[in-house]
Amino acid sequence: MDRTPPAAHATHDELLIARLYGGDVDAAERERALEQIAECRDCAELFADLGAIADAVVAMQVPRRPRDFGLTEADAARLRRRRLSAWFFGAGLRRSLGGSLAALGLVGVVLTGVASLTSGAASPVEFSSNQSLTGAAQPVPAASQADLAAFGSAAAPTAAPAATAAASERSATNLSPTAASASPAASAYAVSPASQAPAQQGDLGKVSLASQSPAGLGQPTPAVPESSVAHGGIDARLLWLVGFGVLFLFGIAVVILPGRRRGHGRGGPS
Amino acid sequence: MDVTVADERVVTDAKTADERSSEALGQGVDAALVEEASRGRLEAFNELVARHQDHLFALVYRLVPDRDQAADAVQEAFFSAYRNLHSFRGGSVRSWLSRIAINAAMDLQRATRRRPSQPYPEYEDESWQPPAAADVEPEAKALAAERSKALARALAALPFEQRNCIVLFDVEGYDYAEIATIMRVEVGTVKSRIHRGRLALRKALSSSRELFRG
Repeated sequence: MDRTPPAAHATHDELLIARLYGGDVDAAERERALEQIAECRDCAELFADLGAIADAVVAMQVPRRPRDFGLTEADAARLRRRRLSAWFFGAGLRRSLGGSLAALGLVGVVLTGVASLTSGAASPVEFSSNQSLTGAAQPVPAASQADLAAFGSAAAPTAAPAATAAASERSATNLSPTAASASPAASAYAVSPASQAPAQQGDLGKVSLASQSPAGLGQPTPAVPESSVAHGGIDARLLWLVGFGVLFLFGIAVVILPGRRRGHGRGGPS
Repeated sequence: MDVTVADERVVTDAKTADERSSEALGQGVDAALVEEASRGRLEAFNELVARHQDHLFALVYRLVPDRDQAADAVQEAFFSAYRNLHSFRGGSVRSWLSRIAINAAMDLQRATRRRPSQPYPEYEDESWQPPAAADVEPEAKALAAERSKALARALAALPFEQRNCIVLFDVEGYDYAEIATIMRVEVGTVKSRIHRGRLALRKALSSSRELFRG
């Protein structure tokens, strides 16, 4: 039989022979591989060796197992506990809890958002709340300064004592606590007409009207509900919105974050 | 002559039928044991262990080149099987346990990847010999031991991805697609690993090739 010289074997595709042995060739490749085996002694030896090695892997002697792998009662009890805790802290409860938190957070965000949109800035309560916030926190505008100056000589000497008195009788005069704790000017500025003593009602009413925006003009400034403004001047609705948002994000994180690794059994049974 | 051939065929068919019925019986016993074990009977599970531990150890030992580590992987596989008895969906218990053991072996391989141990240390110990059938000739016994020793070293030298694919294909008889599912890779990757692994194995055995010829 004519055989290709051994030097030519270097140009032969050994992977093709291995693929032929593994049955991973199409018809054309099979023909080419068989031709290669027929013509090249090294390729023929390779094919035979692959078969012999595969047989040897199957027949490979293996030492006896070093121990019995049966479970003791203690093993079984421990594994049962782990199974229970795996359920509690594993994917099942984690996903349920995370999903619930995320749903609650989302509902809260939507409801708070809708409530803010429908009854938000236009409502008198909300407006006066914002107004007194800005009035207390910001410097008095120039126009208001002028008003105050006009309000001036007669009212100014009495404004501070009036504010102090009003602060001490907050419940009786309906004065905003925020306004009362601010500067004398601001305190006088936020005093509502309804809350003033009859002697000062006209003058103070002027000041209050001048300081309001057109939306609030002509309307008496009601007392600011304590519940709608948090300490530090943050709208409580905003706090609720942020809180629900955080709850939603936390729930999502609980759902998508990987669970605890549970040892070698991961993905075992299928 | 024709009659003899026909008789042999009948005998062969009969043997196959016996083997099949035995296998079916074994599967039925396994399924019953799994059911009892999942009701909390530890004895039933340990009976299952006794029926399959030799097979699983032989399988894992080919994948993990260390007897103690292989034993740990098999033990972990039985722990995992006990924890997941409720997830058994029928079929062959042996295949189910094999899959768990293969996963345990692969987890162990990944864990020990950065701190490789001496492969098959028992083969380095001259006093240790793998068990062989009692009726085998001493010469054949010695040859088989030499062959196993050389093969074990060559297998241990392969990347474990190639070794796993070759063992699962040749020893366990899984096809390419099944191995791809087990190893969570593409079928083409499995084929490539097997073909290249075979060539690498042959190259590693080049100095002791005579052991495998004839």
